[in-house]
Amino acid sequence: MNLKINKIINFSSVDGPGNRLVVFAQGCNLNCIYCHNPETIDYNQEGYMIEVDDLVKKIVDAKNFISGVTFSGGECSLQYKEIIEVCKKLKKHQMKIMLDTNFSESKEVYSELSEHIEAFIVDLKAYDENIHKRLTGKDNLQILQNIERFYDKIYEVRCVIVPGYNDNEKEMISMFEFINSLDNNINVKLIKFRPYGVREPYDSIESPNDDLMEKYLKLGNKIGLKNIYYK
Amino acid sequence: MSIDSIVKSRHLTYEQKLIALAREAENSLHVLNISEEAQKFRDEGIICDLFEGNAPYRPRYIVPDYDNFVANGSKFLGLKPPTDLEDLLNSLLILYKHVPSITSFPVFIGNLDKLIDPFLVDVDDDRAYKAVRRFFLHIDRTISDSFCHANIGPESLRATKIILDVEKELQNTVPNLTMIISKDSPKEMVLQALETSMISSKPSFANHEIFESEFGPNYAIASCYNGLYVGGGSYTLTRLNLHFLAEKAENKEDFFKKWLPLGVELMIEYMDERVRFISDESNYFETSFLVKESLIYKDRFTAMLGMFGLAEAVNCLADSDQRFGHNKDADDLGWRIMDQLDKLVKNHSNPLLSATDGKFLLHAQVGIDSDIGSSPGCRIPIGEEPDILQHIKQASRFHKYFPSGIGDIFQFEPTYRDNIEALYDILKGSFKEGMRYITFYASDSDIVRISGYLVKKSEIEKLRSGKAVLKDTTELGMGAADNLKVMERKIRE
Repeated sequence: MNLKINKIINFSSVDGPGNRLVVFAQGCNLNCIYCHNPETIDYNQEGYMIEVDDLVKKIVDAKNFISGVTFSGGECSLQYKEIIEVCKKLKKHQMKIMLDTNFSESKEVYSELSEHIEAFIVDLKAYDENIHKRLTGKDNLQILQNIERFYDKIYEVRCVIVPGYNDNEKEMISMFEFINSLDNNINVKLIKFRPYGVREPYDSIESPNDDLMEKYLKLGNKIGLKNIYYK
Repeated sequence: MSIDSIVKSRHLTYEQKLIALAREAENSLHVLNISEEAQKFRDEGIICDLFEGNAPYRPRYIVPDYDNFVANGSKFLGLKPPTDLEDLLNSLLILYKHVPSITSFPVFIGNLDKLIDPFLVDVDDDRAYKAVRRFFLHIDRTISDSFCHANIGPESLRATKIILDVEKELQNTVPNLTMIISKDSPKEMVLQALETSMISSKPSFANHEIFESEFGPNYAIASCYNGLYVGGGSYTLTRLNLHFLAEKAENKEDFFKKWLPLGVELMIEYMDERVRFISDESNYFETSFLVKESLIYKDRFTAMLGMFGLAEAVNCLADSDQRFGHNKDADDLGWRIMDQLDKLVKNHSNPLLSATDGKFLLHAQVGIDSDIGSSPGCRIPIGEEPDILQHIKQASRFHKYFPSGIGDIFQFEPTYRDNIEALYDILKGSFKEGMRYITFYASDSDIVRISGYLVKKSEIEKLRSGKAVLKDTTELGMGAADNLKVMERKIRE
């Protein structure tokens, strides 16, 4: 059994708790304008096949140094069957596994995955359906439903603040209220849009400033979110 | 430098001139018996005594037993045992001015948290912080050499936390600081230390289980990262340039059969002579109050046989497509060289090195500013560093050979400050792999770990513009930045 991946990073400090080995899957079902590794979107554009056993070996090799493994992408849940195989083989090593996912696949997929992993890291691009479409090319109905279904298995919800798209108070309030209604302890990470690696013409969008991020942070706190922060 | 240029220098402080002049005076003597062969290797840079001088009149590294000092005071210095916190810190500052070393400054100033903690009973946080802050500031401004080293850990004490808080605030280069970590060290303490290291590039971390298995409980980390006995030290540190030695060999076998044994033989001959002079002729042990008052014991001294340039030696001897740090055969050759070196060194016995059963201790020397093209100890050359996982695993395998010191340095993106747990994982993993000593720092810190000592980037710039600076190590750091590319270490993302 093979996974198609773009790359593996042995040590990462930004993909979940502690030091993590990160596997970037090749291929994505969304097309976010701010994607900073757009080469991972098209399944056929880049990447290479790796045997499940070889991937497991690589992970075990790093075992002493990591808190766990994060599957990212692309969209890793598109290859959920292969990932579950990896999880099964890592069980005896007590490896903690997270999935950085857009949550856009069916509930069955995440239901099955959730039996084998520690938690999901969810990228919520926007709460408003139209904004979501403008940002990603698709609606967010399934995504919001999955967040509702699996919120107790979510380590963190991440949202990139993109000027001209989702950087308005109404959108932020809707998003924060939605998350707050599920669990006000969920980690919420607001991320500044950054142009690095982003395709034209979107790479000319300016990054939001700290004042704006601070404002949304306070808004989140006011709504009741206890663990909201920004990067 | 000539005596005339030292006297008239525009960039040396008065203190630096004084020490430089003393060195010239010492070097005007020729009292060591050095064979022609050993002298030839010295001239060729294969054997290097790191400017220890022609007539060594004190051991290179001295590691006083400060517990004894605190318990008994000092008759010679007219000091009674300290009775309160301020008294303790003042007494220590007095003693530091009387502990010599190769640099003329103390290279070990104590297990400071253990020394300070008993004096914190009934002292509130504010008073404790202010006193410890003043103490550390005094050390940085008067011990103007970054090889001065303090230890903390492995237990978490109230004083440990205060020292880390102070170091995080002050961001000074002196003292060098090591936290000794054991399997029982509490995670919270280590996390605070890691957080501090991402601000002020210290402490570094020493693997207690490894050092304890070699020295027992009474060891300390002095100078760069040198494991030595408390109440003892090292007579000398002389180093062997494996790179230059390998260049003399026709092939691998010629290196192993002829040149490596010859290099070690001449090193030992030269080091034995230095040890003999300090022990038997300099009268250091006969005159120092440190000996009379049981702050040091002659039988706790050893000597450190240093090496460097392993990477280049391997690259020189291995097949052309094999690079040290990137190829299994090349790395295996490195281990074969170290195995052989270890055996050759252990074959020799010098009764003056009674602390270590007559044996020299191996030391991976961190390099000096003039080492162009030869890397420190067993390190992978800067600019060729592999992925961090591969790097740590490769490096860790060498650490077992070096009781008297080896260490690896990793520079991280400032983003790691947001996830100190990630550094904790890396530290823990390194120790599991057998790493003895490791340092982390952030790429945006003003303080940078040159090799085994700390220098401020801003001070290097000041010196570069022709101004005198307080620390003599800044000049070494500037040379290392220019010649050894130490500012260009791989930044780990």
